Amino acid sequence: MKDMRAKKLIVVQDRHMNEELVKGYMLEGFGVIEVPDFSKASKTSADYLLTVMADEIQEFLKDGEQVVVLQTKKDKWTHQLLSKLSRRKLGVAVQELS
Amino acid sequence: MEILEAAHYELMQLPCPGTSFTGLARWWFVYEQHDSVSYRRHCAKLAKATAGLMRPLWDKGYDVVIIGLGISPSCGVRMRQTNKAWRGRPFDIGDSASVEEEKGVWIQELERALKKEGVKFRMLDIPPVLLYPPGRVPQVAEYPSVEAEAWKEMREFLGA
Repeated sequence: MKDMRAKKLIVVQDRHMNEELVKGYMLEGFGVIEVPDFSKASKTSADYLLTVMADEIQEFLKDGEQVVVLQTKKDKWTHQLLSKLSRRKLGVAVQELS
Repeated sequence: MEILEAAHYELMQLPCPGTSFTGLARWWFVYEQHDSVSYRRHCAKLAKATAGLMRPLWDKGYDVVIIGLGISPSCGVRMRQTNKAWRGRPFDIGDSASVEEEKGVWIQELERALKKEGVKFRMLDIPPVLLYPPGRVPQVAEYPSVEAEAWKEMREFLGA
């Protein structure tokens, strides 16, 4: 059976803030993982959910998928996710946004 | 996505408990395989944290809608795939797997966590005709059998 998965993913904290860029990636066949806003969550919940997101991304990378993280300097949760990936020595492409 | 935007919904992407628990190199699962103590515990923990994210939105007056995946043994709302004999050496059970009128494991745990958190919500799952190749779409009354009807159902449910 044909593999229907995207094999290319972008990770973004707020897709509305970067709507056109996200649409552009989607037109190129990228799937999207959106990092939720954890500001109202407890520290434990936020850390746990980010850890699970890192687990998912690790599985995608293991499966040979291309992962690009979009981030601005203000994206607190994306920074924390990237720290978790970095501690696992997982290399993902990062596109810095102004 | 277009339907959600047309109906003025914001999207909160839920985690995929199957990917973080079993990885991507997994066979097609049925409910009985997902219904293990440890997978359910994984879903329950994720659901509790996720419900905690939804509570502030509910407090602000948001209409919370859970969108599942039709007949998924984990994300199904109306029906889930089942096969009580499927274990051991893999064998083909055909494209039109058995389904039953129950929810998947992840949806069950999310429903439980949201109720505990005091969040009221509505649920629908995306009809299989929009998700799977024709041979895998069960012909059952619970789901629209053609794409146009399936889109119409989604629009009506979301008020788009």
